Amino acid sequence: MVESLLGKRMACVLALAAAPLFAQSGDAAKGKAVVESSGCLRCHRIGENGSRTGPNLSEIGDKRSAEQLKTSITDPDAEVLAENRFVAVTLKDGSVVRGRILNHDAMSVQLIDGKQNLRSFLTANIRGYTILTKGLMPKPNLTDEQVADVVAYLSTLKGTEAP
Amino acid sequence: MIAGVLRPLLVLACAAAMVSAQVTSERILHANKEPQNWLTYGGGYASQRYSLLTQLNPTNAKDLKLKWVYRPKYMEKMEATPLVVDGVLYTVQNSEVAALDAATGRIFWTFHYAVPPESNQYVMVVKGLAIAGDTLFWATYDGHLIAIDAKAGTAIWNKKLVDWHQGYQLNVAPLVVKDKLILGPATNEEGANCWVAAYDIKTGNELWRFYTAPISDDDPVAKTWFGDSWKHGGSPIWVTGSYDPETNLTFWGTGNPNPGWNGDKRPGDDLYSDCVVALDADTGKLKWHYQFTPHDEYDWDSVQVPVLATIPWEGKPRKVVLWANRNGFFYVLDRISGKFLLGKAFVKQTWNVGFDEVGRPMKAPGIDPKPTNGMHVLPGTQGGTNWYSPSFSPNTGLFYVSSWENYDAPTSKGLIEVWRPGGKYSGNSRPPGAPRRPRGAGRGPSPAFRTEAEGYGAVKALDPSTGQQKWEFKMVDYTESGVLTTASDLLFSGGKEGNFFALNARDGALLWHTNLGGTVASGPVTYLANGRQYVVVCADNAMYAFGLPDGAD
Ligand code: HEC
Repeated sequence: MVESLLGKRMACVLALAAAPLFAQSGDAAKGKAVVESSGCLRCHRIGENGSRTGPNLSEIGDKRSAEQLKTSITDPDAEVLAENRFVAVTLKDGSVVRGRILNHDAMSVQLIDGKQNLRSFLTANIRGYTILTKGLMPKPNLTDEQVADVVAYLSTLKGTEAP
Repeated sequence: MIAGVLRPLLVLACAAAMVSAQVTSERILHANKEPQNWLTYGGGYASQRYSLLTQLNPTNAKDLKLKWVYRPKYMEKMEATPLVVDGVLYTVQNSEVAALDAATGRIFWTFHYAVPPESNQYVMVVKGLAIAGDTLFWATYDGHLIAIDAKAGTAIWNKKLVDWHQGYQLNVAPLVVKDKLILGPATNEEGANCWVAAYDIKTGNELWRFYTAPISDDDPVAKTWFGDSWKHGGSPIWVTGSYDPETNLTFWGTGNPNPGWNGDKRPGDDLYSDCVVALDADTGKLKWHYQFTPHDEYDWDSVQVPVLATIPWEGKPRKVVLWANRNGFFYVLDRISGKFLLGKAFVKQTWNVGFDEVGRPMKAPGIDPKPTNGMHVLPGTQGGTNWYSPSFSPNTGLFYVSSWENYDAPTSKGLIEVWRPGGKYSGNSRPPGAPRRPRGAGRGPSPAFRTEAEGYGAVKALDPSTGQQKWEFKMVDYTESGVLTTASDLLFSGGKEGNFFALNARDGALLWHTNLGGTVASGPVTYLANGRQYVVVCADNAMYAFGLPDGAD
């Protein structure tokens, strides 16, 4: 137990130490404005704002390095994490329900749809479903400077829980 | 209200009228003639897990309802196969054996023996009990064999067979053959050399012993290791064997050699690791053996249940042993001679490029010796299957196995540890100064998001004459469940995602399912209580019984 607590605190110290490096390459305050004006929150949630359809970015600065954040904005398909995958469910009438996949098993599939509804389908009651691993986020139209600012901003988004 | 009062009285009356005879060796020999009971781990000496009961069938399976739940007091996952004898169900978990009313799940008695938690170091979970006469037998993690009065729930004798401090543990359900209990110890990567042995039912005294890894330089088998590497060769026993009364042979699967992930010190076949051994049940003398994975560096224990069957072979019935191995291949061996008849992959595999004429696998280039630091090989470490009991239905002629398909997990090779009693001896240690592998590295995505290409669990139906897959029932997550089939062509199984289901054994069609909220890691069994058919399965740390609603036919 003691060891694992120590481990977490160490990670935190490291993250803090690294933070100033990112600040140099972009302006977090400007980045925040870009995020709020570029439609990112149509899909992403940050704190109390935005949609839960896409991945929650509230603590993204803990999870992803500046380099990874930059790539996920400039080349969204380069590395899609498994937990951010989507699923397209084809119903019996041929219509398709799309959303972020939450779970699935031999009998059913669970997702959150574009209207942020939690939905569950029995495989017996649908035609089928496909897990989508690419093409989930449109590449935003941002200048290099804006990207740097957004990365600086996202890097500041960290968990609030005490270590 | 009145019905509620009356029903227990009726049950009591039936129970009182029931004749509960001793479980003689004659009864075990003909276990299939009393399908109302489940008398051995594998549901009879052939370990087919095939029941002649037909009350439940593909038409009424959709009506199955929960009858009762039994929650033992420990949190450990239940892997034991229960026994059912004349309306009483016996099971074991961690430190407790229980006798339950098979119709209601109510407890008659529990028997407690405190197993030191440290003795169960690697969570190789107890697989079940054995019964002979009126006595139950329990092999405990800490190396004791305990005889328990099946009526009273009290110990008759308690014998220490192995010292767990030396790296041994017991977790198999013993096999009763005549006046003997056959079982062996396991070592979990601790380099304690193991064996199959027979113990006297009345006293627990040892009658014979067959070593699965040699204990002397004089043993010619020691030459299949190198230098004195045989001294810590492991080769554990952790799943119950089978018995063929016609030849008086008992068949057992053996586990991986030690150190498991690094074979550099033991160039050679490392006998009898990863084998099936056919032993004379009276003397323990080896009649034949077949080694599935010579010189294993991939943890492909051959601790599967040997399934004995008679199948059509080149136009004639042939007595065979059927074996779906952790290394990803399905085997057919002649039961009398051990002759290799067939080896065919039942899951995607990359290690074997074929077999020679005596059935020795030819390893793919780059596989042997294993490169340092590790590599990818299919099937991954957990194998194409593992200890989960398969089933053979003489009715459909098919062999059914729980499998891990497209399953890739990198396997590492590290430093060989200095052996010490009860210490880790896996050949998988990090060299000093080497970076720690990130947690979860190389493990695929969580099953919640996993695609089929990234691995899935399945029940597969194989034609044993060809090894050809007839159908598969796909799950998302992998499975550790055993398989049960019945004469009405029902198949019961489950998986890690918590589903327990009934399929049509002929085509794999889903007939009924329920989610039990935890990993199904036991073999389901079926029996009659008060004339009605039940199916029992464990999920996580509870046991669930299903049957048709009261009043249904
Ligand atoms: C139409 C919906 C949508 C919009 C608009 C959108 N995203 Fe995304 N975003 C996604 C989805 C879906 C994913 C997950 C799949 C992926 O990684 O490509 C994602 C992934 C990400 C990730 C990686 C998350 C992780 O856990 O690794 C980042 C960072 C990100 N988006 C930032 C942004 C920013 C910044 C904007 C605005 C400029 C934006 N997104 C606009 C849908 C969207």
